[in-house]
Amino acid sequence: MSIEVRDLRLRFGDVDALDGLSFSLAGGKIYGLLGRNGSGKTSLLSVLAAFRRPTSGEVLINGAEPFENAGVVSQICLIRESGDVYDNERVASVLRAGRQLRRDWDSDYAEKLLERFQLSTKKRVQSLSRGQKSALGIVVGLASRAPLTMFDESYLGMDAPSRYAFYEELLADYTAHPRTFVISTHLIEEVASLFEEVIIIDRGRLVLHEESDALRGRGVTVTGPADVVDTFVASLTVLGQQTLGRTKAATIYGELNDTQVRAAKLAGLELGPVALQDLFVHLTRAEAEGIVR
Amino acid sequence: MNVFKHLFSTYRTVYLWFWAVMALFVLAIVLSFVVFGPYIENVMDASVWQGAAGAAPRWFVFVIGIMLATVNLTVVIASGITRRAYFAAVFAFTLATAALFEVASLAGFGVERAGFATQGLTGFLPVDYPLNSWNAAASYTGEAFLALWGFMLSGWAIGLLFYRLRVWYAILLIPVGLGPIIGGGSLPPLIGQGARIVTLTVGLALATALGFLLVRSAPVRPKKA
Repeated sequence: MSIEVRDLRLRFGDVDALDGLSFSLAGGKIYGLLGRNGSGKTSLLSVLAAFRRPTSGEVLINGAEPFENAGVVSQICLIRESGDVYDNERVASVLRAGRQLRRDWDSDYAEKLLERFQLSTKKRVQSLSRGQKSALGIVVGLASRAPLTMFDESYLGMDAPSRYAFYEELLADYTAHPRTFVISTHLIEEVASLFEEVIIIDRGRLVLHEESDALRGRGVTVTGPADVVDTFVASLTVLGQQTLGRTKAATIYGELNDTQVRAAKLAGLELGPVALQDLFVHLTRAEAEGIVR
Repeated sequence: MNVFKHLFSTYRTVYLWFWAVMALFVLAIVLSFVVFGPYIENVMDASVWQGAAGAAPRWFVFVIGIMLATVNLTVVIASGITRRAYFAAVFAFTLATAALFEVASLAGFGVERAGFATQGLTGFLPVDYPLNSWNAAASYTGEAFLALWGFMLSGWAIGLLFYRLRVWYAILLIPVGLGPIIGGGSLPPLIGQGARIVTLTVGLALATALGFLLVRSAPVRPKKA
């Protein structure tokens, strides 16, 4: 499902959660939505899912406004960290609600996911641990098979094996049933390989929307003897450095030209891709400090 | 229809529990007449069930109405249902609940009357006992049904007031949400049935309109940690 956002504003009292946000997603991909705490990620997803009406601006999902549009909202699923399920009911009742209310619900897949995440249908939601509640959200999100499925920090409480199980399931189900996923997360490096495009927002405004590969191409990791690395990066924008013994790895922002690449190789330095997280930190810090990129 | 089914399957168990408790209550009444009937002749001048059925189910559905606004609303809207569709489902569900509860309430009167009859005490039933005549039954049922429906819609409207608005605005608007309760619960001893039904109907219309106004743009807020 395509998403078109034009000059979107969402105001809470005298605070602008979204401040003239505009971007366009073609759909049919896995999108990463990144931003610092309070950057407006949850507000944006809430408006896309018609959980909230925007203060002004326009949101179009497949060309139509989602708010109170039955044909559109029935194709959207937003899973939030807080979970939108009945706390005092059993897990079985949560699945029953999905079956009764969601248009594309897949009961067999939901059962399979429950087994994978070791959730019992007999347990009450309020008795689940934080990680199990997150896993239940993942089950609902994936089994909804909604053409636009969004996860908002919805797997933070899960342990590492469960999170990796989620990534595997997400990728497998996306391959079998292609649709649009938007994933908002702070665990950037863990999920970075899933993202086909990345949207970064800060203080309710768009910082960047780019394909993941192109974004990674905005930086380079230079590894080699510490003194050689220091000399090489002296005139470059360094995002981060790590030293292990005499070896140093520096992450630099910006593409290297052919001359610089040749010089690095001649100096015995290794050049590698940059971590998305380092770029994210740099870009959002630059935004906060008002640095023009 | 899916949302209606969902609401019914969510509440059917708690409805059954409520009426199981009410059934035990009416059976206890009947049993007390069978055992102690001759000794209570001179003190018994009213129907116990008339008092119970006129209060407990109404406040029970009032609470269910509050839950429809504060518990079910977010889950249903977050499941890809529009607010308009949820409002329509709530309207139908409250109507169906009121009808169902009124039928169960009438059955309770039947059991109580049978209990009185076993001891030849039917003469001690109040003059306005609903099962005294077809007219009395129709008249009681119509008003009691409207009152039940009104209590439930009132709970829904008041629940929405507190879900949507700041607490002081919600408190200020409570009288509008309480319209059906005022019509169905507080005025009966003071005015005639015709006036009560008009008051109830106006209260129902007010609560329905207030509910619609509040739900049509309700945000789906995250749960508090």
